[in-house]
Amino acid sequence: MSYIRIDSYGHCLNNIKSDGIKAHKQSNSVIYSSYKFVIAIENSNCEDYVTEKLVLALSSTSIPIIASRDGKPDYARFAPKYSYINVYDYKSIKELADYLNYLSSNETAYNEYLWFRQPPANKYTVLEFHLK
Amino acid sequence: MPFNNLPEIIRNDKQQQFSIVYVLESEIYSQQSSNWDKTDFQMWYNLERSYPEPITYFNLSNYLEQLFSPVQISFSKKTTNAPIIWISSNW
Repeated sequence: MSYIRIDSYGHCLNNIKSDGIKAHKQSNSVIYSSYKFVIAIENSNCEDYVTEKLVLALSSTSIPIIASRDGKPDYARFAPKYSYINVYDYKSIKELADYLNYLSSNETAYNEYLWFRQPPANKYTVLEFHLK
Repeated sequence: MPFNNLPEIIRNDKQQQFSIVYVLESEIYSQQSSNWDKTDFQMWYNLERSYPEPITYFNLSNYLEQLFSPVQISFSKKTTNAPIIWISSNW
């Protein structure tokens, strides 16, 4: 959090409150949608261990931040290419934060990660292609 | 199951049924985690090797509409409080 602001709603490094989140009155994906990026890193790095963390982030139509090292987990099997940001693609936390700061101030570059949502996408054909 | 009596898990390329989800879902800070939090579990999770069916929390096909839905909040209307959100746990 030294290089970029993160609103943390959970117990860990909590810096913001939401009664709706705490009481499960509001789906996480609803509040995710108002942010540009969502940390969706899994608890474990196993080949196919991808959970609702990714689904909720993608459902919110924000950009998921994931962690995949040596293809574990292999997100290419679960989400379209260029639809998420892998922390292991960057040499340092600062380099990652610099890139996220760049995206968060550049709408064109940011929207490139949402390419598969752009009309008139033949969305089911696209999904089928990327999940195969 | 006592932590010191866990079944031995040997990795191979044959399909097999896993009981590993318990380990993956347990949080290190949850109650009763002290029994296993220092154990070096061998973990893997490969859908093609699981039997009788892929073990996963969700069927991705159930989420197609949401996954490919139009952008809910456009770039210019996103919150400026912070670019990133993290919800480690709702509790």
